[in-house]
Amino acid sequence: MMGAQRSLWLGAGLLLAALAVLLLGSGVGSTGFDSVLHAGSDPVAWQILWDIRLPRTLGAWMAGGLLGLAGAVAQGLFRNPLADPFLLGSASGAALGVALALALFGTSPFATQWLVRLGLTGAAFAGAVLGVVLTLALAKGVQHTLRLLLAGVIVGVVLGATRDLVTIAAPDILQAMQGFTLGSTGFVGWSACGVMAGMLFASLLVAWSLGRVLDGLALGEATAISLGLPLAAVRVALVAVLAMATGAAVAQTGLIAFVGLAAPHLVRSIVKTTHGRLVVLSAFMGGLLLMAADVLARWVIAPQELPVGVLTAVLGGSYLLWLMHRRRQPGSVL
Amino acid sequence: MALLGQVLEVPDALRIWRAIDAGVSAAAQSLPPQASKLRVYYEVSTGGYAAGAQSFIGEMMARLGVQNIVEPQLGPFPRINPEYVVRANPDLIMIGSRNVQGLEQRPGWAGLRAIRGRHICVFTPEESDVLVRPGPRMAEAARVMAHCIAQKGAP
Repeated sequence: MMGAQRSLWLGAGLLLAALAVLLLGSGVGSTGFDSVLHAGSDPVAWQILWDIRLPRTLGAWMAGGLLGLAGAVAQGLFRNPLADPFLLGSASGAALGVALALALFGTSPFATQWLVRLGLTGAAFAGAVLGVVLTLALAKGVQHTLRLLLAGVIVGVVLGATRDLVTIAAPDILQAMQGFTLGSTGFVGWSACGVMAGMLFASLLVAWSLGRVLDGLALGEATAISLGLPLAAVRVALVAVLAMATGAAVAQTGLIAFVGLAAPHLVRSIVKTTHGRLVVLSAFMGGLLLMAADVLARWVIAPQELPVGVLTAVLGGSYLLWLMHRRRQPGSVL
Repeated sequence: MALLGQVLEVPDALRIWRAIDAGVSAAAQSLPPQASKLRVYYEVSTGGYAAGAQSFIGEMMARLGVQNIVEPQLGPFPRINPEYVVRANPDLIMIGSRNVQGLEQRPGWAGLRAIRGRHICVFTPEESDVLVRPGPRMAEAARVMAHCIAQKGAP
């Protein structure tokens, strides 16, 4: 059981690294390490540490974890190494939800009253769920992988175009929209952390317990069915996990690129393992990736911030490229 | 200025400029003297895009005599870390109504002096339109901003 041991070590290593980055992240911000040292005597420094830095660093880990997990599930479910969590229309749905909320807010009392209750995160989550539901309706269920993929792409394009129409009609929201599409962990508080922690725990549990089905599915749908795996029911459960995990992450932090795609590949490049372990390790990897990117985002040009999505793409992308370059073997992607 | 007027084919450019300038000065003089102690944060759009001292909005704030919490070296419209605002603890927040959503729920912001005392200027879309576009309506923008400072800036 070399693989089991290696994945155990990798999991422990990833968690340890995350802990180290968490400690580092509590010291990085607009003022730097001195605020940690003075946190005992200075109430504002304490407030910054406790109310802003800790929740946003932890929140970045959890959002990254949700995306990494969703990416591993998507790649297993669609048996496609290019699948990512935003595939089923959740990203474009969430972006449309945010665009509508921003454009309608303050225009009519009725809309404003509803939007105050919903909030931007609520609008993003509702949009993400709507996007996935639309995809499922177009694909007439979840049983045809190819139909599902195609429907996801089409819904993505149509909702994206609608979002563009909304931003053209209300150009004031362009900058705020850009902030959302590049992702930000700046406003993640404890309540958001709680929501994401619950979602991450539930999704991990479901995805981990369905890992064996994903292993079977990797051999092809016909083989999986002949092995007696309950494919139909499991597909529904996995799509639900995919949608909820992505929706929760996107609602709290915006569209963060590449974590969902890169995290499973990074795990696979280190250890070959079963899907049950892969989803857990991908969550840890995604969390570490986004957390590191978040710390960098507020450190590089402090007290200003870089969009965190740009950094995840640069960090994850360059590492993946380096991996591909290093082990170029015939017949293998990574 | 005269050259600019020639280029734009506006014969009385200097007169227009003087009118704008006088309008801004009048708005500044309408403010009580204690307004100069106010420390103000102007958020241009959600995600923490602030109006820096180098921006025309920052220059307008300077003309009205209030202090900008965003330091000049950060450039015109920096995207600042939210904890920067918590650290600076402004007396007054200016923001457009489109962006005000969730302002008080931002982590750590509930304790800000401006939010505890509800010293928040929420500009309607029409007012924002005047404020965030540099142009001949700058005197009007100064009046809008001065009105807000006089109304919400009082301790």
